[in-house]
Amino acid sequence: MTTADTTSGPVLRCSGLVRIYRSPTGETHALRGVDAEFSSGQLAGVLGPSGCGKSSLLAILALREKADGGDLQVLGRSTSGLSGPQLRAVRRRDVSWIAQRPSHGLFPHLTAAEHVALAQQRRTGNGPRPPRVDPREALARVDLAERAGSLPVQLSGGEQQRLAVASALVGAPRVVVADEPTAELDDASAALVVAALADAARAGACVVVATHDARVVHGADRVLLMRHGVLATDRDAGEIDTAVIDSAGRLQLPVEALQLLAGGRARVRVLQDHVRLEPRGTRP
Amino acid sequence: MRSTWSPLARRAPGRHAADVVWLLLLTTTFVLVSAAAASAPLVVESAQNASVVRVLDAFSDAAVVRQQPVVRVTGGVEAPLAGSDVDAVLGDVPGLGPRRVLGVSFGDELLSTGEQWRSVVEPAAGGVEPLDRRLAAVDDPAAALVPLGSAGDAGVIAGGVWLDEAAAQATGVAPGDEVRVSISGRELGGSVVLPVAGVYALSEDGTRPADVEGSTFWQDLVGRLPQSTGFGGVTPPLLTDVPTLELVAEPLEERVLWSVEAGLDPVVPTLRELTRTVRSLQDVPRALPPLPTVEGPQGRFIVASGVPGLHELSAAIATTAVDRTRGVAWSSLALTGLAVLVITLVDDSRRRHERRLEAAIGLHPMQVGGLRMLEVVPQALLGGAVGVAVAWGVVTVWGPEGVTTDRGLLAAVTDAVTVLVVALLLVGAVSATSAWATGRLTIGNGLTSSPPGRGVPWRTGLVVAAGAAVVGVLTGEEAGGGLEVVAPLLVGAGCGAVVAAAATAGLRRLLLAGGPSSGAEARQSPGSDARASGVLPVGGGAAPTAGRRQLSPRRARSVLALRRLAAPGQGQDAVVVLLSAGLAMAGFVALADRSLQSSVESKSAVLAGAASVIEIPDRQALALAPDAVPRPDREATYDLQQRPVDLDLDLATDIPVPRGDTVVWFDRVAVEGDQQVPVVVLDTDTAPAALDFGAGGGALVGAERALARLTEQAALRAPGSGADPPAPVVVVGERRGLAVGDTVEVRGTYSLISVEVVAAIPLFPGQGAVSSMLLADTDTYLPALQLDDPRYVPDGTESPLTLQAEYWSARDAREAAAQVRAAGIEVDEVETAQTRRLQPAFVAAELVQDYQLAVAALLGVVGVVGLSIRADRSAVRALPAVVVLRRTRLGRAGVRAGLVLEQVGVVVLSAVAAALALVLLVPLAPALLDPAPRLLPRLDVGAWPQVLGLLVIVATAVLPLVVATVATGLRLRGAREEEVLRDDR
Repeated sequence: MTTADTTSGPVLRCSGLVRIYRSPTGETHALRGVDAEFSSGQLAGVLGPSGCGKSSLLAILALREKADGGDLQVLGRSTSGLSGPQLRAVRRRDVSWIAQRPSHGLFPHLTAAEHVALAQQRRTGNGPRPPRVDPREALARVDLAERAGSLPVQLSGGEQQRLAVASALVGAPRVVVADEPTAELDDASAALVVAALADAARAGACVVVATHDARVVHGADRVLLMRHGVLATDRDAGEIDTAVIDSAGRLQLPVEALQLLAGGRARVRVLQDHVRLEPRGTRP
Repeated sequence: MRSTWSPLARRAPGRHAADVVWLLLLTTTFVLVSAAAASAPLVVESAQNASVVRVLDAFSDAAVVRQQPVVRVTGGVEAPLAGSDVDAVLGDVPGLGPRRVLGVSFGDELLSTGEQWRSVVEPAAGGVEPLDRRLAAVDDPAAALVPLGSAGDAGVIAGGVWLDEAAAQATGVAPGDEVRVSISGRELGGSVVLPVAGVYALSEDGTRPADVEGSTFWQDLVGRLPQSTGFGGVTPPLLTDVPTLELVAEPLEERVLWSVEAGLDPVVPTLRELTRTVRSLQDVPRALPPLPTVEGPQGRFIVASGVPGLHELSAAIATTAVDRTRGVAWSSLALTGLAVLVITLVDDSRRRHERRLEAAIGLHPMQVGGLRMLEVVPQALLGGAVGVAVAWGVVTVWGPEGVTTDRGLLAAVTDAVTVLVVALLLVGAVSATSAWATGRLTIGNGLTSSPPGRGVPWRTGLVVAAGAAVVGVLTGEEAGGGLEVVAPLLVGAGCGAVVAAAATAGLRRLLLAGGPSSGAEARQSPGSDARASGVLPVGGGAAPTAGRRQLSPRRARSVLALRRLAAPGQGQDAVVVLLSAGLAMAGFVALADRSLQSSVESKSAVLAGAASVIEIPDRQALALAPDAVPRPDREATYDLQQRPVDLDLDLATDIPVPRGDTVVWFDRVAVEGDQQVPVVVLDTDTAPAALDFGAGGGALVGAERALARLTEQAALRAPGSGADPPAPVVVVGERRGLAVGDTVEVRGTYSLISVEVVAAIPLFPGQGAVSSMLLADTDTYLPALQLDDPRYVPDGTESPLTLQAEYWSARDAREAAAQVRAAGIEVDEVETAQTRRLQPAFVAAELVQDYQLAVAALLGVVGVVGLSIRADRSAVRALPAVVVLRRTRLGRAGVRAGLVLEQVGVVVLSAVAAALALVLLVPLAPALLDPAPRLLPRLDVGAWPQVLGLLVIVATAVLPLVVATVATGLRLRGAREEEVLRDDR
């Protein structure tokens, strides 16, 4: 996996991802067919209201969960055919996960320095060995150099999350997936976290962050908006919104467009070089 | 690979150090595991050695050599054995105490002359009738005797003889005088004059020298001191030392029988050493030198010992005890193993985020398993050491009375280490499995969903297993093999599962009926920590509803507790199962303890009849009755048709015995249908004081009443009270078609007797394994035998004796035997209640009973640990509620009270389940507990043991509640707000 040429294609490629949660009261369709690609050197923010499927998408991207349908390719290889050892190797070397709650990403009995050392060690596999990182240096990037000997319980929530980010980024993982990493942080800590993620992207990692945080959005190279389990818009930095049409031909329109198309019906005109949507009452 | 997780590995051994409550629970669990493992070999060894102790205790006062724990080599008529090869041979036998030499003049018996030689003693000056006194010698008479008068002060005269006080008084000699010893009854042989070394005191019965305080030298020789030279009973010997007896034997031309004997060294009475002694004893006859100077049967050594027999009995008891111990041990190990499994699963559950993190960083499941093992190694080491110490202490203090040796301790340590390693592997395997399930990339895998195994129908499995155990008990043949532990355990656990499920369902229904926002709704979101912590339910539902009635703090506590009891997924059912199994076991063992004790006593009484039973050889019983009536002349009492002539016969009378003794006669008759039944003929005047009726209020209560009824009826019908009244009898056991009030004729070998059934009872002391017998009174039954009444002094014309006699006594074997021997009756063997109780099944049951009690206590502690684990988890999950509710009226104390109430609920459910289990187990108790089902009476659980069992359940339930409450308090007290809000715990 690590030998794939990351410049030749996307690091993560989702094709028609479907995720359904079943419970005694019925089914919840969290993802209804998500198609997306994520490239290296890019910080992608995934936005959307609660329950739109952000966390489900990130859980699949981070290889924490498998989709009910569709396929995910990591570094050009489908994850559906990965054996146990292969899966562990990808998790160990290529994919980092940052949880929303800081304590969920840390071992309570390891000091900050040991977390970094552990992360450094787990990246050293059969592939090319990343440069060794001094734990203090790694911690200094998130302003935790002085807390190297502290256990997580001795750190504040913000410090814990910074430590989790520092650990996740050690060893230059190809993919960094973070689920609302700044949700429980103060401004200063959040800024440090966002900066660290942006640095990782600039260093070549594919960083995917689910967030509601405007600071992350501003720092993102690309923003994907999710609604009702599908990608609604995909906007690169400095570009206008791009509506996403999934493999089934479904399209989600921006809210302002929906207001123009009141009544839930639109007339579709396929012209020579473009498609026109008009309210139903509009004369041709 | 190792370097990948080295920080985790390096920190793993101290992983639980910061969490004191969990640390204690973990350590306690390993203490239990270790104690369960270590106790088994300790109990096995202790039980093996206890079997020796019990057997030796029972036979220590045995009346005959072949039952005594001694080895005696007899022979060497020409020369004493002291210092000889015999002494050396015995000295090579391990486990024997100091050897002692005894020489007794035995010439007449040895040479079988029939001339009635007598060694006699008289003052050297003459003037007094010579007294019959056997010449005898021991190594050091002065040390073995209690001197009288001034003999002790005057010093011992070397080469002199010691006279008993009676002989000294009769002959008028004193220490320092001279006596003449000679042989009467034959012409050959001279006499010798010897100085009197001293006068010794006699034992109470006057047959042997009194023992020096603290010594049992002469008491141990009871049965081995020969009868007097006149064969009129046992008289004390004329004692001297070995060289003197050697010296005087030649001029007297007396034959001296020398013997060397040694008792078992009582210092370390272990079965292993006893086995070694017995093996060595087998070589003694071959190792002994020949006796070339003596021809005939006297020309060889005779080795007599009770040791092999006692060893055989000890080994049989030990084997049975060990079999039972193994079953109990496996059960306790299984349960403590379950405790390890539970605590591992709970730990795995409480560390689900950590588990997911480990999967996320690509740790191999085996690495995770290894880490978990490493984490508990310190607790395993500490718990292991403490467990072995606890097991050793408990077995030493409360276990069987046998000693435990270094060998046993080594076995205990080995077993504990082995089981701890297995427990660690279990921890690793469970954790690795969980890590594997978590790390799989599947739809809805462990990274986001419940741990594996939640859907396993273990409750149903438990109930099925309990049912299977019950079927096994009902179809099994005998108790033992661990089923007596497994069955109550499984029935208790099964009841716990049923009660827990029923209670949960009932509470849910109750809460559902109480409002729309009830527990059912709350259950839909198993991942909601806030809901699990109890925050939301306080308000009455999924979300506080506007206008909903505000709960008072007291009611809020109750609602909080009820909702949590009704909520699944907190291991509550498992804890109820664990606790109910422990409580049921405690109650059942208490019940079993009482029932078993009573049963053994009753069975023993039915087997033995009395404390000491001596079989009297044919026609020798009348030796006990010096005033027995001579048998009337047959021709004078019967006409030509052999019909009795109405004469005023001298009636035979009962044999006079001291209080506590009685003579019992045994006849055999045919009742209707020619069915042969034994008849036990009792002297109803003396029998009540001699018979053993077992435990008061036990199975033989009816026997006492029946004996009283027989006595009463016999008094009414005794000869002279009317014309030929039928002899009253009591039917014991199977009725054989006889009913109370029936008058039938029973046919003996030479008699036809009319009897009337005055009572019918199931059991009687001495019945043994006989299914049916009749009880009769001597004064009404024996006269019906007319001239064959065995109480007549025989004249040689009587019918061959059909009635056997036994001497039953409430006294110990030696006293009873001395009584019989004093009448000149040879006592071959004395059966005592104590020796009868040495049935391997009885003793093994008693020995293992203590172990079962200990295991029950262990199970109780397992239950305590289980509840404590639950209490801790509940408290941890409630920590957010504590923080949130701090500023409400409920507050920390309210939350704590709610949690304690919750534990009360769990304990009450467990106690109810345990009580239910106990009720179900009572009918199974005979099959589970009866140590010897083939011996009457069958074990019966009375009302008191049942009440005791229930009381024990209630009393035992308090302990886990206290511990759980303390655990809850510790957890809540230790919680810091910021840690709770960050979910650091």
